[in-house]
Amino acid sequence: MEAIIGAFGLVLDLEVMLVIAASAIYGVMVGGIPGLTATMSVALLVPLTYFMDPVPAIAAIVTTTATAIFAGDIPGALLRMPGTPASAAYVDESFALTRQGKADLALGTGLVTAAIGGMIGTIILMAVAPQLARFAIRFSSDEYFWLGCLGLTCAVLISGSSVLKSFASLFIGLFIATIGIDVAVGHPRFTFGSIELLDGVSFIPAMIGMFALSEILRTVARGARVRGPEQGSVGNVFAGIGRILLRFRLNVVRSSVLGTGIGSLPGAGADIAAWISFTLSKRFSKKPEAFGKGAVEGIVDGGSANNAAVAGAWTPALVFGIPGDTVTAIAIGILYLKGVNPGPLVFTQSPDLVYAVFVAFLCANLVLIPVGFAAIRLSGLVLRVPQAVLMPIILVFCIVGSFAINSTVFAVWIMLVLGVVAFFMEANDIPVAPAILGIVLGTMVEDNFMVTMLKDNGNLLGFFDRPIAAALGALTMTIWVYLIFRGVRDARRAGTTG
Amino acid sequence: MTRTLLTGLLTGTAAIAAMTAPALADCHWVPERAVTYVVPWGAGGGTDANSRMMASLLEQHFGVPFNVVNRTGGNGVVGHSAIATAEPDGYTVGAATVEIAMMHWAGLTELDASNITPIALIDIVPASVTVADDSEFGSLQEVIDYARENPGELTASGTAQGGIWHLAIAGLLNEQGLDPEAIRWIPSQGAAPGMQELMAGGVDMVTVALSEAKALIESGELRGLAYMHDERMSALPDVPTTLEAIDTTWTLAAFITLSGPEGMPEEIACAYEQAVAEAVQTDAWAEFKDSRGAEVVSMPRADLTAFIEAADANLGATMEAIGLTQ
Amino acid sequence: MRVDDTILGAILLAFAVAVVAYAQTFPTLGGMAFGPDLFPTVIGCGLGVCGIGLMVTGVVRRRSRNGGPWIDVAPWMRSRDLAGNLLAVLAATLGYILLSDWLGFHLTAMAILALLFLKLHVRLLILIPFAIAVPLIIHYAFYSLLRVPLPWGLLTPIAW
Repeated sequence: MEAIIGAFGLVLDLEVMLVIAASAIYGVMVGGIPGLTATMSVALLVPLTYFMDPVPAIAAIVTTTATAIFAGDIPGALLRMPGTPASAAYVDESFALTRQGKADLALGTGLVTAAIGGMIGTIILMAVAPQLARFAIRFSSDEYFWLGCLGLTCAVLISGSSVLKSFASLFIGLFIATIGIDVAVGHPRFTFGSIELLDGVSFIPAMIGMFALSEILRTVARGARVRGPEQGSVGNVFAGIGRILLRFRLNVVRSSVLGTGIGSLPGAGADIAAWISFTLSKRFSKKPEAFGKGAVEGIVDGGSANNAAVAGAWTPALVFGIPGDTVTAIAIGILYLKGVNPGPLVFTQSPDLVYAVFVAFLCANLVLIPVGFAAIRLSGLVLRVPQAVLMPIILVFCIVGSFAINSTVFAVWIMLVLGVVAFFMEANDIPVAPAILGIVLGTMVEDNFMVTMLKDNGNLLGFFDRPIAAALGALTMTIWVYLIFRGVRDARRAGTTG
Repeated sequence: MTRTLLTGLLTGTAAIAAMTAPALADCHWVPERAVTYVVPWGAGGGTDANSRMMASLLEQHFGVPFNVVNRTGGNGVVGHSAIATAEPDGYTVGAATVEIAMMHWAGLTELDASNITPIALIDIVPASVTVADDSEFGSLQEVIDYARENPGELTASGTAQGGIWHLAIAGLLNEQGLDPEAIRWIPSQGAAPGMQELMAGGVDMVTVALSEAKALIESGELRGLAYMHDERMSALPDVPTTLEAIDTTWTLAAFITLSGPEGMPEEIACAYEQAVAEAVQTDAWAEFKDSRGAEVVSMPRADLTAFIEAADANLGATMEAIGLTQ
Repeated sequence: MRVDDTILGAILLAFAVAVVAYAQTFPTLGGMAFGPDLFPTVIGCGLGVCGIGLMVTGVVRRRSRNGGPWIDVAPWMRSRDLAGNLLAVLAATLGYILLSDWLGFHLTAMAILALLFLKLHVRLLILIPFAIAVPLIIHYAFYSLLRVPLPWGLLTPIAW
């Protein structure tokens, strides 16, 4: 308790508050630009933090990630270009709302639930970080394999169209994920001699191509309007939020807790947390038919989960010095530099600094509301620009955003090819979301499968050897059997009713 | 076979004072716009951290931005070829790592050290043998004995198949007269996932850099059995060197350099060499190194080229011996 | 452009067969049944099953409603203007890929913006200032603030 009060004292200092405010603005700006991830925004901060005191340095990182993850919602909702991968899960819902003239509702909900999710995640972290970490650290390749499979199953569960087409989309995504050097023997697959492809298809340009470029293509193919806005404007961002929160209060709590849990697994993170929460949202919704047409409920769940996961990712980082994601990997390096050695001892050696991380999280999520509000109002201007002017500008952003992730023009190729593929997929009612998920999780599933096989000398029963793995495996299998049953039923029904 | 890569070549902290850059007249090249600093490995890793720190110091020195770009993939091939194929005009430099001396042996690429211009040594990262705290093994000798009697039963992890830490254990086994496969290699996406696997009970040991395992060793989660280096690490004085542990001269270290593309003009390379020589003497660099449990290293440019060549030959021989060449 | 499920299924199946066939050329891990070919093969088989499934449902549906068009012609396929829009976007992206290293970011971005604005009938009064200002703003944000090394190309001598 003393440490917590001490931590508040450390953070509630004029200099630290200024750093938090500046980082929030910076985070919103970077997160709002498609192609720039939360990781990149933190990596760019590194040189600055070298010359800061520990507390402001930590506060800067924490605030930047928390705000960047939210800001990814803004271009997602307005232009169907998720700013960060963590926003990709529910981009179709928020974009559908924008097209109905309810951009303010989509973004307001995203903002408030992100802040609440972030705070719930932080509170959980304050209460049980060491215990949570103890659990997370037991996950080996067996458990991650099943977790990846469970995530893949989400792809089929969330999509509205036929199971067959969802699976087809998922397999296309998984195929894309197999491109590049394989984990078991290091053999280049489907690279056709290209050095650039050795690393596989990077996710950011793939996402920009499949969501944003395909949207541009669709718009110009319809005939972009020269004059006049199409989709209204952003009005009162907070109107009706109270009612939504009240109505979906259980969703907020469920997704925040889930998000924190998934975030605390090293290597899982905000992206996967958002997908899984979104899937549960649809499965347990009283109105699943609203999904795909602008379901606020989906935004509530996905939005609170990804920000909660940002907090959760600090669990293994603080408790064991094992990074939960790339952001915390960078953060650990900075902590070392500041003389803080993450590990079980950090809670006894420098508890005030650990709690300063938590307090910084709370402040960041509070600051997020006004800063995010301003960002939403400003970005609302985008909706006033005629499509004929907007589309070419977005195209340049897509190109630069793809280029930015690795500074290679090859990424623009990836964006172009996958954009065209997605354009034809959507024209044929093949949903894009499962393919995106396949790209995200394909490598994780395959790597962990191969590693487990290598460990167990090729014995498939090894996947059920460990208790957590066995439970996850049984759960996954059950869902699969149900899905196959549903697929067969659908096919029969299509055959009889046509 | 010579197994010591570093002997006689590595200059430690003590030598720094004597190592100021050559005061040549033609070292006055100064960049006029932003420089791209290519890192072949991901954000958050050791190469990334060292390079970002060095980039910020070079930025102060030259007064232009040094933009760090992570060009990951293909076990380092992508980033190294980005360094090698850039214009040697001084506006692209990069962190060439030990893999430049390995990947051509593995048949991944034609690229080798002759395609880059080594400028300065940034870090030396010796391997370790590290087990979980609840492991039954108390010493490296016990591990070796067990592996000799039960070949193929133990597993080790820490990097990709054929990566530097894979070489560390396979080379050690080979040197001890065991089958390099006596401890099976389980690939991982890097040191952190490897250590996670170790703590989760998925593998028996990791052979990552001791500096990478330092935090978990200090916190009692892991135990360092051996340090594959000539001297003990000052931050972890309890971990014996391989020589002390099993009386072998086997050592193995990864290294990080600052390098330019092939054919970089002498004037530019020399200007960079001077800038790095100044940077490594700053307090900021010393603090940074200290925080990572590493020593400040440096090496004259001419020696660095020879050092990489020697490493290339030794690593090639090791890879040949353990069947990782193609 | 909507094609009949039967055709869609056939395309997926053909692609799946190609993936599986190519995957068989991958090396296997010494003595193990699981190698780099496993996942591509499984994925290819899955894709193939989806393809066959789509073909079956497509055929059944065609039979129940007595044929119908194989391909639904989308509006852009009938209008030269709309098809031109699509081609212009693709050409602009391709143009950036091929030319940006040589021309540099500013010139390429200005050129593709001007081209697309023209194609989309944007008035010159808007076209010119936007085509010039947008690349400059993006360059400032990405190059100067966010440290993304956008190429200078021909403008290298005046780089700032």
